[in-house]
Order: sequence, then structure tokens, then C-alpha cells
Amino acid sequence: MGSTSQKHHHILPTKTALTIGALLLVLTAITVWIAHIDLGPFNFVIATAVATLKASLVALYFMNLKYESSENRMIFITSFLFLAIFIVLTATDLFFRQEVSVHGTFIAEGSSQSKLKKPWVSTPELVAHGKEIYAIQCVACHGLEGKGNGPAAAALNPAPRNFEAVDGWKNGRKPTMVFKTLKEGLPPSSMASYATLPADDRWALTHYVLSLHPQVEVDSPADFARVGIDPNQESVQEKEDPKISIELAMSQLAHAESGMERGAHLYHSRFEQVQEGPFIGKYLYQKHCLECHGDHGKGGIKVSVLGVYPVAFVATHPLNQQSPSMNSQEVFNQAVIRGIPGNLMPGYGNLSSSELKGLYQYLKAENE
Amino acid sequence: MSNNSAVVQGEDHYLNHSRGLMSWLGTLDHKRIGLMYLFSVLLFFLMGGVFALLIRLELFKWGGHNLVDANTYNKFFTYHGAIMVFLVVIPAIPAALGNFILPIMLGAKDVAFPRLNLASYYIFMTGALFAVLALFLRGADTGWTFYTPYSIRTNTTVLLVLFGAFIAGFSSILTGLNFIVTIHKLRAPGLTWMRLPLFCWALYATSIIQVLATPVLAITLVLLCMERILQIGIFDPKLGGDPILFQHFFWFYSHPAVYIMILPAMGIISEIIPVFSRKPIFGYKAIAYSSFGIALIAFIVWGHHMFVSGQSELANFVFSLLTMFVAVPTGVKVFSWVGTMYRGSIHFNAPMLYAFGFLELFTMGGLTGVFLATLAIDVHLTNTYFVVAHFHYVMVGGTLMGLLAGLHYWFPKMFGRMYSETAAKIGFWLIVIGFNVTFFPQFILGAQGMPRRYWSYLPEFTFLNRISTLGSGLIGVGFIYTAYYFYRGMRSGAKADANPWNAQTLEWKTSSPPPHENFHETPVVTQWPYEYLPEDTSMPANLR
Amino acid sequence: MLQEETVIHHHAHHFTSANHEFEAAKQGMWIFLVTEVLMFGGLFVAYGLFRGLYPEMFHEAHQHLAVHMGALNTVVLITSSLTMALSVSSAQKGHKVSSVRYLVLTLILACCFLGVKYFEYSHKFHDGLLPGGFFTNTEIKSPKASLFFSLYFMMTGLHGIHVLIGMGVISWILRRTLRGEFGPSYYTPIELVGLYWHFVDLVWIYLFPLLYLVG
Repeated sequence: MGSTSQKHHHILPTKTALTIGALLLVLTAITVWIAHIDLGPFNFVIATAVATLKASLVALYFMNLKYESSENRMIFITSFLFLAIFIVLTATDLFFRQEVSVHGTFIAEGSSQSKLKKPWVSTPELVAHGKEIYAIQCVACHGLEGKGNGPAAAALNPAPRNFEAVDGWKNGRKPTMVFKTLKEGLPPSSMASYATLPADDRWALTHYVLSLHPQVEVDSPADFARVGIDPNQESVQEKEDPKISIELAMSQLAHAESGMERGAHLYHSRFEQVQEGPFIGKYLYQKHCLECHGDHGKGGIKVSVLGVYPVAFVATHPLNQQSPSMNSQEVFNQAVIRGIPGNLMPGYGNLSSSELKGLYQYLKAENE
Repeated sequence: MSNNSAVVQGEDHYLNHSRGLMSWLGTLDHKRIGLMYLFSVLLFFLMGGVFALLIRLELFKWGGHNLVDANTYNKFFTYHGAIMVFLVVIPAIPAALGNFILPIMLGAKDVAFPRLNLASYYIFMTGALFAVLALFLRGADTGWTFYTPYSIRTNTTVLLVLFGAFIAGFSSILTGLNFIVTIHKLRAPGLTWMRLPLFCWALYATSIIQVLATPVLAITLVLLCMERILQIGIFDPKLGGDPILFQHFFWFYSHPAVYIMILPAMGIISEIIPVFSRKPIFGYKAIAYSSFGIALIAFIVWGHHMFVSGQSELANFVFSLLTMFVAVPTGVKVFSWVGTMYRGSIHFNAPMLYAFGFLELFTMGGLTGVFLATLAIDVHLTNTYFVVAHFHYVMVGGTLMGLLAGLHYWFPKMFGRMYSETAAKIGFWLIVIGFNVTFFPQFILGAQGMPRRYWSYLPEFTFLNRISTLGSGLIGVGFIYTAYYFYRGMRSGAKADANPWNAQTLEWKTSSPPPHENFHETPVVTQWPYEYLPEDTSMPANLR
Repeated sequence: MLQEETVIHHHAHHFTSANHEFEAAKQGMWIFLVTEVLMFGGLFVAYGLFRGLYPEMFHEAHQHLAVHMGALNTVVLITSSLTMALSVSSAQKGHKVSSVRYLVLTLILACCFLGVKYFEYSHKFHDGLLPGGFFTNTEIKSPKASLFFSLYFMMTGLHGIHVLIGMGVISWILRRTLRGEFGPSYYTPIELVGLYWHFVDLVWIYLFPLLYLVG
């Protein structure tokens, strides 16, 4: 088969090419010039608009998109459409982040004052408000009418509560107890704690849920005492989980040099009050070294398997020889990271520098 | 690789057109490239499967330390995930079966760019090589998702795995590009868009996702590599960056990737169900267009992987809402398939059995997906075995069932011989029962709160974990058995006709196996490929 | 239209005509450009989000970029795009000599672009305006300014790699043009390289105002 001329193809006339080139240069000059005038946010808008104009000229004429088949035009435009989806949906996250509720002790706890007066007294307004919150928070499991038959109910065992049935409420049907359930959840069932909702909203939910069946029990003063409420007061303060900004959360994350260390740190803050460095050292020693090197200089449980006697770092016996690896932090690091070839000492390459430091400090301290 | 012994002697076809190892390694024939992909993918499937079995063995007894330590366990599930996702499930149907079948279905002699096609294969293998190389160094322990900042800090050889996935991504892009142009430009005369077989439609939608999503994975992985090499800090909170932004980048690719995996399988099911029901497909246009619906929605739901990662509540709400829409086009497909079978004359041959397997398992996977898309429930189920069970039902129950259905359906076309139908039925039941025994208990475990990715668990979860491990052994046996009877079929199966299933798409109009250039003369299409008449309920006698 | 031709191009067996092959190849190129848009797109998305979060930091950091250098490079790249377009149309008309001349000009302009980039980069290195962890500059007061320079180096770096690749393929088609392989009947490679080169220009058209002219 021979060749035929590609005759339907549009050839860019030299004159058009030169005109477009000149136009592009003029537009470049305009962008630079306008950038020097302060127009606030419009600077960005104009700069992007001019860039788009330039890009369109290049695409339409230099790249011949103007005379291209509609198929190819569609293909090229599609890419920008999906780019737009990418940026818009990601922006719904990055520009709309709120403070995050944090369970833990390292940040001062906040407390919230309920805004309503005596929210434990049911009113039609509270019930209506409760219904709104219910529609957002509870329908998935408990169902639209509170029959415990929401779309997710099928997967749950025990099944979600049917609010129209009176029997079998784990904490009873008194308002204070329903309130308590909302705050604490019902472990180990799938009923979670809704302590993140403001107390007033939880009271509203309580009243709505109880309104689904007319038979309501009344709280005794003892019940109020159990949830820490004085029914004679106008309102009540409730401890709330502290909130931190996403920025703070990120910086917290940044301080943790590795996940390992973070774990050790939390462990530390909970169970023991020791200096941080050596503490990590002890934790790591017990985790990685104990099996071979043993606790008190006699070698660990694996010694009989290894045949070679691992160095007893934690010396209790005066005759125990110090390992040359303990001469300095650098030598120690090398030995631990790479292992000691020919000596069955494996490398622990995933320890961070601060972990190695802690381990070294711990061993030094133990030997003194 | 070369199955010369399997070749039916006599006429000239693609398997005996040229001989020797080099005629395979340097081939531009889409059929041979498809087979090379197929065998490579099966090799990686074996690797990923071994890691899966090791994971299950470790979990057989509670308390850890059964087989390996926790760090090694982390590497095992990372490798299982990364190999299965990047090297098996994504290329399995489009690159292997698609490469083989698509041009023949279109009545073309080859894909649009045969050289590029071969290049994609070698790019894929290079990427795989890097990833596998990392295995022999310090491995990787980040999970296949490479979440920052851990992936920046860990001292394992993540860099090599990232680089491997980056390279393998280009293979996916180029295959997608090749298929789009092939479908646009190389359809046989008379093969209008509305006569296009549904497998082609599915591959078309898949290719569009591959072309649009994979480049974002490429830039994500480049940035992550740069985090490790140049400390650019865009995803590193220590340097002022945003680790959650990484998750957005990652899932902008990896969610659509789920549809790269499932759409082609849906295409295969759409081919098989009318053939074995002897009825025209119900809702042809609905099935074709819903593929595009799925492809589009694939791009606007990625945030549902991040409900508890710290993204804004607005984003949580938007993504939860949008995710619900996936159920619509998926439902359209499922109902159309069921509609096709309604009052059909159903033949329970192996491909159809696998299609049923797909319908059952995929529907379960899809519906549990709706649970997970519901924000309030997902908060509790995230990172539990419920999620693990859900996506295995979709990926194994969906993609793998589709792949096996397709392999059984096109086996006679690919090798010119039949496998043993009885053996295929035994294999099917082994795999399907094994699969359900493995993964159904994981739904329960997850709902009870057993977290995923831990090397140990609380003693009360022991019983279900044991069942699950036993099931995984059963799947393993099923796959080995399947490999065995396929091998038997290739070597000494009965000779297959050009059209053993009495089907109407173009690949059945040429001989089995097809000649080097697919057709002796370019076919002309005059009708829709699903025109089964009411009296046309026959299957060749030996297959009934 | 059919002039005397020295070269006759044989299209591949699975196409029906040379034009068929050309259309397929061109569509492939457009799809490839789509993937490029999304690959660069990732960086633009990161840029847009960080700029939205830290506008003051972007404003302060961008003052350490040399606008005149950026503007010069814009002019250079636009001109190279023009010469590339002229080279393609010369090839389509069968004017081999002018096609070669324009291709050489494009190559020279591309070298100029990278030269200017080299001076800019070395200046940044000198001032400690480096990405992320290597950022040592003390003049900039805003926190997180290192992010701006991470983005700057990633975006211009990826673009620079594309310029380098572009120079490679331009050299390749220059060689083929010199051998007389292109004419009115066959010019697919030169047209496709042209498309690629214009795309590289297109990216820079956005990079320039976004990085150098932050309002």
C-alpha cells in the first residue's frame, strides 16, 4: 500500500503563527505590568485569567485544537474537568477543618456551660430539637421511626434499641439514665458515646427518644445525684473533652519523631515517672534485647540456642566484661544498627537516633 | 511461556506462527503480549497468595509470635497488599484478558500502538522487579497505602517499592491510552458504538480512569520519594506540611483504582450472562452507560477512606453523600444481569458458575460498602476486619471471580483446547466455599471490634480466626487445583471449535486459536452481538 | 498536492491508510497530554491549597524569586513555541530547509531557558532557599516558607525535566528531518513532538504568574 497525502489536515499559516506569537508576548508584558499594581485579590484573578487566555491561544492555534476533531477537543478538556474535581473536593477538607476533640490528659480539659435553663425538664421545643438531631445522628441504626430498624441495623448484634418498646432498656427509661447512656455509650454493644454533642443536645435527644413511647418514668433526686446534677439549679456545668486545633494536632504529630517513640512516650506518661531518655531505653531493651542478653547479666532465654554468650550489658556481677561497643554512643549505634557480623548479633535498622540514645543511656545508667 | 506443545498441529495460528523464546519476548502481537501479562500476573498472584496464607497462619493462634514477630508481620501484609493491588488486580483483566480479547472483539488486527503495548509490558515488569527487589533488602512495612509521616520515617526500603509502583503506573497509563485509541479508531466496518460488545464498553470506561487517575498516583509517589530524598515537607507535619493532604492525593488515584479493578470484571459478566442464558442482554444501553456513571463517580468519592483521618466534617459529609451514589449505576448493572437471566435457558457451565459467584459475592461486598459509606457507622467500623472483609468481597469476589469467569470463557479461544468441565466445577466450589469461609467470619470479627493490621488479637476472637485461616487454606487448594486442570487442558484438552459456546461476539467468528492477524479477512458487522432468538437455546451437545 | 517525493511512508498493517494511522497517533498524543495535565495537576492542587492556607507566607516568599528572570524565560519559551509551530508547518508544506532552521532555533531557545534556570537555581542554593528540611534562609520571617520553595523546586524541576526530554525528542526529529524522512505526506512524529513542546510551554505559562507574581 502506498501513501496518500494527509490532505484534510489544517496547516497553520505563517502569518497567523507570527500574530499569535506577538499577542502572547504582549500578554506576558501585561501580566508583569499588572502584578506591580496592588489590586488585592484581583491580582490573582487577573493573572490567572491572562494565563488562561495565553494558554488557550497556544492550544487553539499552535496546537491546532481549533481545527482538531471534536473527539480530541473533548479529550483535552476532560483533563481540566477532573483537575477541577480534584481541587474542589480536596478544598472541602483543607479550608473547612474545625477543632478536634481529643481524649487524653496532656491538654487542659475544658468545660461547657449548658445554655438552656433546666434542660432535664422536657418541653415541646426540646423534643422538636431532639428530633432534628436524631435525624442526623441516630437514624442510620435506630431507624426513622425509632423502631431500631435503620439501614445499618441488620449488621448489628445486639440489634439497636426499639424506642417504641418499653422493656429491656439497659440503663432504664428515666431521663437521667438515657442521658447517661448517650454520654457513655453501652459498651460492648455498638451504641457509642455521644459525649461530643453538647449537653443540651443530648438532653433534647433524651426527651425526643422518650417521647416515642408515652410511658415515662420520673427521676428521683438520687438519680440526679448519680449523674451529678442538682435539679434545683438553673443549669449545670459539665466537663467536656478538650478541643485542639488541627495545627496543634499536626505539631504534636511532628514532635513524635517516629511512631515507636510516640508509643513509648504514652506508655511512659501513663505508668512510670522516669526520665524520658533512659525510660525509652528500658522499654526498648525489654522489647528487643532481653531475649538474648538477659535481665541480670546471665544471658537470656535464647543463650542455649545461640551457643555464643551474648554480652551482658546490665552488669550485676563484677567479673562481667564490658562490651567494646559500649565505649561511645557512635560505636554503640553502629553495632546496633548494623549488627555484629559473625557474632549472631542482628541489626536493628529501624531504631531512630533518639531511641538509640535512650537505649545507650539506659545501659550506661544500669552499669553504674 | 511458549506453549508450543499445546499447539494444535496443522493450520497456522498465533501460537505457532513463529517459534522460539525471542519470538515471544520481542512480539508485537497483542495476543502474545496478553498471554505474557497473564502468566506474569499469575506469578505475582502466587506470591501475593503466599503472603496472604502467611498472614492467616500467623493469626491462627492468638497472642502473636506464632510464625513471625510483629515487624515481619507488618511487612507481610504490606507485601500482600502492594503485590495484589499493583501487580495483580489492576493489570489482571485489562492488561491480560483485555489485551488478548479487545482487538479481536473489535475486528481489528492489533491494538493501535503495538510497540507501545510491548513497552507497557516491560515497564510493568521493571516496576515489579523494583518492588520485588525490596523484598530481599529490608522490605517495606507501611501497608500498601504508604501513609505519611510513617512512610517518610521508616527505615525499611519503602523507596524501592514506591519507585516500583511509580513505574508500574506508567504501564497502566499506556495500556489505557492504547485501548482508548484502539476503540476509537480500529473498530471493524459496521461495528457502531451501539453494537459494541459490553466488555469493550467496560474496558473503555476502565481506560478512561487509568488515563485520568494514574498520573496523580505518579506525582504522589514522586513527591513521597522526594520527601524521603529531599525532605520537601509537603506531606510532613514536622516541616509544616500536611499528612492528610497525602491521603487526598493517594486516594484520588486509589479509589478510582478500585473501579479499574471491578469494571472490566463487570464487562466479562455482561458477556457471559447472555451467552449462557441464551437471551439478549437486558438493558444494553443502561449497562454501557452505567460503566461511565461508575467511572465518573469513582472520582468524587475518595474521601470516604478518610472519615476518621482528621479531614473536615464538611468533607466527611460531602463524601459520605456522594459515595451513596455509587450504588445507583452498580444496581443498574446487577438488575440488568438478573433481568437477562429471567426466563432464560440457563446453562451451568463453568463461566456461568463464576458469573453467579460474582453476582453473589460482589453484591455482598457492595452492600456492606453502603454500610461503610454511612458516616456514623464507618466511624466505628474503620480499621476493623469488617473493612477487610468488605473489600475482599469486592476485589476477590468481584475482580477475581470475573477474571476466572473470563479465563474459563475464553480459554478455548486462547489455547484452542477445552479444560475439563467437571474439574472446573469442583474448582469453582472449592474456591467459592473457601472464600466465604475465610471472609464471612471477618465481617463478624470486625463488627465485634477486631482491628485490622495487628499481628495478634484478643483470645475471644480465636474461634472465628481459626475458621478464617482454614478457609484460606481451602482457597489455596482451589487455586492450585484450578492451575492444574488449566495446565492439563492446555496440554491435552479436547480440541475446541471456533465457537464452542455458540456466542455472537466477533472473537468467536475466527478460528481457535486465532490466526496471527486475528482474522483471515476483515469482518463486517451487521448486527448487535446479543441477538439470541427464543428458539436458539442450543449449546453444542458436548457442553450441555 | 502530491509533489515529487523522495520518501514514501508505509503505514502499519492494522491501519487502513496513512491518514488513519496519523489520526490514531495524534489522538494517542492528546491522551498522553491529558495524563501530563493530571500529573502536573497534582502539583498545582498542592500549590493552590497551600496558597489558600498561607497567603502571607506565599507573598513574602515569592519576593525572593527574580521576576525579570522568570519573565525572560517566559519570552524565551513562547518564542520557542512559535518556532516549533513554524517548523511543523514548514514540514507539512515540504520546506525541509526552513523546518530544520526552525528546529535548531527551538533547540537553542530551550538551551537558553535551561541556562536562565541554572542561574536562578544556583542563586537560590546560595541564599539557602531550598526545599523543606534543607531550608536555611533567615531573611524570610513567615513560618513554613520552606513549603513555598519545596513547591517551587518541584514544579519548576518537573517542568525542567520535561524541557530536557523535549530537547531530546527535538534532536531526534531534527535528525530524521535532515535525513529527509518528512514531507507533506508523512509528518506524524514532528507534529506530535510539536504538540508536546507546546504543552511544555503551556505549563510554564501558568507557572510564571503563580510562582513569580503572587499578588
